[in-house]
Amino acid sequence: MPLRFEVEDFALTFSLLSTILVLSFLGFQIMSTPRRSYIAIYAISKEGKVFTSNETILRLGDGMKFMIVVENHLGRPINVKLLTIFTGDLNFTSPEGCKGSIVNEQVFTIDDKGRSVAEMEFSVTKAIFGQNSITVEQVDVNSFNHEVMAKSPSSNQTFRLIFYLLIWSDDEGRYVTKWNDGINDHTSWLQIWFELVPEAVE
Amino acid sequence: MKYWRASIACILIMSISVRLVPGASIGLPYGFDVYDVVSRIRSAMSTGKFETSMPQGPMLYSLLCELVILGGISPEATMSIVAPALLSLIVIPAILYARKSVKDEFAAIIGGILASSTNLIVHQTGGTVVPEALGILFAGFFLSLFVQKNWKDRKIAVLLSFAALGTLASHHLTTLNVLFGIGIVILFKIISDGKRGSVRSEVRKMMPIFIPLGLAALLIWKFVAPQHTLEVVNLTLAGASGLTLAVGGFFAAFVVSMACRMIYRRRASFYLAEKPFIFAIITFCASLAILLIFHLVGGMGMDMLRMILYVGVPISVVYVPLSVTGLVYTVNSRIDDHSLACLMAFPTACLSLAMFLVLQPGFGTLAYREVSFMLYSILPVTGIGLAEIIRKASPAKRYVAAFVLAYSVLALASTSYPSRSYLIGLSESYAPSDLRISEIVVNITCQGEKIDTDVRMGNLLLYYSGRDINWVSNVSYWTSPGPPGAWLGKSAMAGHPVPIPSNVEYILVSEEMLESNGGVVVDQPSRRFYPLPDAALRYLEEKPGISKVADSGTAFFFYVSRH
Repeated sequence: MPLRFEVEDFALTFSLLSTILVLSFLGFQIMSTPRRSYIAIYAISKEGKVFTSNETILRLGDGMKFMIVVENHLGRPINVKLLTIFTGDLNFTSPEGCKGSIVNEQVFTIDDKGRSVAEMEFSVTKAIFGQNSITVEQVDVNSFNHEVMAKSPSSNQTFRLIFYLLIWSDDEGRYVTKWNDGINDHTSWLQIWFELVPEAVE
Repeated sequence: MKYWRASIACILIMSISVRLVPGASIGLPYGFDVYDVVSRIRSAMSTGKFETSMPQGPMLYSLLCELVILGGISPEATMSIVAPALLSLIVIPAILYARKSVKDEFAAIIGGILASSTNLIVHQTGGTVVPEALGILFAGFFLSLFVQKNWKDRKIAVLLSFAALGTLASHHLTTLNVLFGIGIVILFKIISDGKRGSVRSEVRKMMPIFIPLGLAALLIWKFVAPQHTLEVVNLTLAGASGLTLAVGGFFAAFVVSMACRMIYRRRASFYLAEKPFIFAIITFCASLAILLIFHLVGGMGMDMLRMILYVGVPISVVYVPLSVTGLVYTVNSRIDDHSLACLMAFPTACLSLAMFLVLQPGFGTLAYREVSFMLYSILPVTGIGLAEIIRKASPAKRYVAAFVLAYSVLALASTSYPSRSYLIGLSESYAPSDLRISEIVVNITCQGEKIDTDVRMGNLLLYYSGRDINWVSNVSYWTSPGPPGAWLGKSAMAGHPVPIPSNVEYILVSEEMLESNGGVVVDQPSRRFYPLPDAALRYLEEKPGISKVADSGTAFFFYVSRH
């Protein structure tokens, strides 16, 4: 039987074919595009804003209050551990390779789309101020003293706190540094540099 | 025509689908221009009051606010789902215009199919939630009414005025194209009437549309929204020389005179118009060859070549042969003078303006903005071209043609959302983490603090702050290109991190800027794209005194201490 394909039929056939193709493409595109998930972490002062330059000048013995906010948008509840590392190491590569002392650990469970706030008060309680360098021997975090050994040049902002987020992995049975956003792996960390100055003379 | 309504229903489904793909697949509005547009009404979406001046017609802004406030829909859902679906109605006036002008329902359906699959907005890519989408919707209604001669009919006159005002209230460039098009229709009518010895009353009837619309547009551009149209005209003239203006004017006039010649003679011929498949193959080879020659002589980089090939070749291969075939058929047919003048005038207006602009230094690059309205206004001609090819073909060949053209439609549809590698490294879509970190940045910084970032992330800052943010690299888009902006632009251009200038307090970096990621910094002041070397991010992470205060995995926010 010969093919019969009249002009009048063409419009509908063509429209239908195109529609089916485009809808298939739409479906494929939506199915093949991974949903992007993430963890957000940020540091703020007690006023809820970024630290000003003056707030990062820390006098020996004085406390610096701040909050680390962790938001979970991974689509599942997560257990996280927030490490606070104190260091005077200027040759920084990554939080893993950093020469510093862990001065605080906080563990949270965060629901999907939930957030946790780690409040901290930090102070340097014992330090030796040399000619060109400062050696910090003791710090206090949330009223707990920690013996540390951090030496750094005395000019400007040379000490810092690193906040490193670890996520519990059921597969590995331990806290791991990486989380996946649906496409790529990421690590979450922050750092705040500060300048240490001697305590005020009465 | 049989299945008229069913065909229109299919076209509408396809139009909505094509425009929903980007937003629906990522769950967010697509295209960074969208956030710039909506940043102007971010606060109005909750308060109902506009606090920022609109750069052009306020119609789209009002519509979005109504959808959010009255519809109770979130801004993100409105921009990623509702607005693209509504603006996909752009195909309806395209079908109406084609049906009224060529009086052929089959051609109108084909025109609608092409309109549904081609993303007819300025960049050809990105979201439809930009004023131009609404402007073209109204302009389409205007064309479908303008092509009818019975303007004395009160209903038609009211609708025509409504469509003209809608275009004016929506988008400046579309209004300019409509005005220029009406001017050329008048010229064509005078020529075709002059052949008969007298100018008929139709020309006089057009004046009550042309003059008030032109005056209203001028007043708005001069006093209400000066940032765009007149400023661009002034800057184009300032950057041009007498020679470029003369050569541009000559080519623009040449395009108009060639169209006039066809109108006057009512005769056109082109050998390849009889051989559409060969014509399509030649167009394909020619479009490839021209671009490759440009590339080989150093006139175009590999990134730009890839982008133009991806977007330009499918559009050229589908539109050029069909338009030329349709044009030859239309000019030689018994179509009435008025319809022919309208069909020829609007694409001619865009083409001549594009020819003029492309020859001007600096702002000549804006010629690409003419493409969308040119394609839209030529849809009836393209539709009739394909309709005639199909009518002349044997029934068996029609099966083949249906499949070939359906795949062409798919190719056109895919030009709407190319991947980053076909967009000079620029990513039009955002990850949710990009949006969240921008919101965090706006919340944790104080008003007036100086933030450096690129256009892509800067538009998000504008969006979340309701444009109340001190983004140091943000300059009026329409000013002349200057040196690169703050630290990001300078470091990207230099290819290594440069010292941070004193006017920068914060730096927002995204992974989409990094060279290793195939990304670019879209620098606003220089209007250039440069990849940000990975060393620049390491510099921020390692330099003492630069605190990293927020991290969302895909973007990072740094504070630069001055101590």
